[in-house]
Amino acid sequence: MSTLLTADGVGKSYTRRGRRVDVLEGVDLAVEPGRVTALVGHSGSGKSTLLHILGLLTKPDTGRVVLEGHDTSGLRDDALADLRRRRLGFVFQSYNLLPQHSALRNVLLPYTGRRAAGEARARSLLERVGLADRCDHRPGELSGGEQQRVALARALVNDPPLLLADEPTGNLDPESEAVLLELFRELAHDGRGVLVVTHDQAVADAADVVHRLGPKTARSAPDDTNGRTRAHARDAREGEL
Amino acid sequence: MNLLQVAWWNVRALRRRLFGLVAMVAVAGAVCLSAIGIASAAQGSTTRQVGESTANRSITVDSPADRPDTAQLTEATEKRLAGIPHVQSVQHRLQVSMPVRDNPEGADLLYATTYRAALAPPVVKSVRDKLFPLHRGEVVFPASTHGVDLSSMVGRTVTVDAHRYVRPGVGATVSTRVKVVGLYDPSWQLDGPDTAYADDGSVVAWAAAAAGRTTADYLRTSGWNQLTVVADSSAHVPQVLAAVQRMDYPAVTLQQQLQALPGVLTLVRLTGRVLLGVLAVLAFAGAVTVTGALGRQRAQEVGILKAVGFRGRSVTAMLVAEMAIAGAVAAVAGAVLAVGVSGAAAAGLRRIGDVAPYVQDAVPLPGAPTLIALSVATVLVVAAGAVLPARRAARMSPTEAMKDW
Repeated sequence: MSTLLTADGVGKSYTRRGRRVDVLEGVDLAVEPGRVTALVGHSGSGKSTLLHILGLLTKPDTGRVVLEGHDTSGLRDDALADLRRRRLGFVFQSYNLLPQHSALRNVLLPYTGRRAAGEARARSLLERVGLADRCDHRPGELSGGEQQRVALARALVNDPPLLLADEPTGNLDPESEAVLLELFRELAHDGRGVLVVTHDQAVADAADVVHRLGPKTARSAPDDTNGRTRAHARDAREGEL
Repeated sequence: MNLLQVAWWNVRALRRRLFGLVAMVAVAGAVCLSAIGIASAAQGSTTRQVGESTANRSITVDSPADRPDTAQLTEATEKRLAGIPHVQSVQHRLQVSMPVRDNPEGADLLYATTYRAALAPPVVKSVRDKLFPLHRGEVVFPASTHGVDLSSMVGRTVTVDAHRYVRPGVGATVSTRVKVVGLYDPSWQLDGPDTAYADDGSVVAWAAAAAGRTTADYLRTSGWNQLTVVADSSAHVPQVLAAVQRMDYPAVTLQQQLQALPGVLTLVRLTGRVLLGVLAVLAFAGAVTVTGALGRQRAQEVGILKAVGFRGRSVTAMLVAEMAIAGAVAAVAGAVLAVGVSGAAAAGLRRIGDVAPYVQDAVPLPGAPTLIALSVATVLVVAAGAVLPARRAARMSPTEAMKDW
């Protein structure tokens, strides 16, 4: 099984009020296709910063991110945008749908400018997430769970091999959370890699692989716990980064 | 889905926030279009009436009233001017006030003017096919003057009074019956407003009577008040003009004369040009301000777009396209608004006697090429104003822009 995404010795620091704060230091991580990988950690542990780096939204100070075997370190902004558009899908905690557009148009956004007609695919994705009858509704007319499913459809419209989700269930009720997790499982079953940042233990429990960001960032590899058997008969590995 | 569609939907969603810019540009554009339309229609109405070939070859020589050392425009002067190389003909004009005593339509003061073959007024109604040269006792009126329609006057006979001066405090009135044999288009303004054309003999007789002299004496001393010198070709006009001016006569080419509009219309034209500049500045500054403000307000949206793979220049293009669409809407709204503004302005100007003949169109707007050019220019200026703030907004890092993701 080839690795989709690799973080290799990633480090990141910020300067706050004149003080340097090391948020990440020498982080290694791999996301493989066909698995749901959870990244857990307490608040302020750098989960979101790491996801930004893995999602090519922020460049690391040290280390590198390798996407499908290609080192992204020296790429220019346009090239990174192209990779985000074609190879990555994002799901955000606050959905981040554009309020002026219908669900269908939100899903089509990453398709903007592409020659192929994306509407049929967008409709089929909305149907897949159970929102076939909500295509023309604006985000304000949808519940939180529905908005998150629209965001998921948007993340998938360009058929990316890797899905990155930041606290995707943070604003959802348990029922919507269960629906979303089941969709993540289906996506992994399709062969995609799914990386979920969460502090929700239920989400972590549903993952195949769990990486934990500790209070003190340090270079370490995941601690495999392959002995555990889960309902979906998948491997589970857990380790502290 | 393409960027333009996304921009269009965004504009629809942001219509309330864009309303101020659109309204400002539309109103400025409407006033601008109206002023340009009125001025160009006025210019065109005169120019259209003049045969281009004659107009391009004509030089107007005015009486040297304020030059005591220069001979008046007598028959002798006419011969001297005719002797200038490349002069094809010299045609005289005499104009004198002509009180009309029993005009039932109410226009009681016209200016009797001799006819010049080089600059024949456009006849719109007449008692016979070939109206000029006029016979003795015949006059041609403007179709309307000071808002009074004179079309019913054709074929009627009216009385014209010439007040004969004898000596201070003593005079007599000489009345003549003349027949109105035709009407001309009043937008023909080469001889001024309220002109009535009459045969040479009648006009000279009225002028001489008013001066208390015989016609022969009058022509020998006072002479004509204007001569039209027609050159062999338009290429010879500068040379002939210089020769006339060397003889110390005030002279302008007919083309120069046609450029001179009445003061109000000159002001209207100037206003149009100034407003054009103001419109450009308003549109540009408005676009800079609105795009900058919207860029800051929509930082999160920009961040989302970049996160889902929009390149920086795609975001810039989208923001610029939004403003271009707003500019296009403003241009269309301005053109529609201009119909009302120019109609109202033209109606107001028609109440001004000297200006009325120039403003015949109900809705004087510039021609389609000018309308299209101005609309396109508006869109381009608004879009250009949006470029820098849009680029600034698009340069924002997606993580900075979307802080709460």
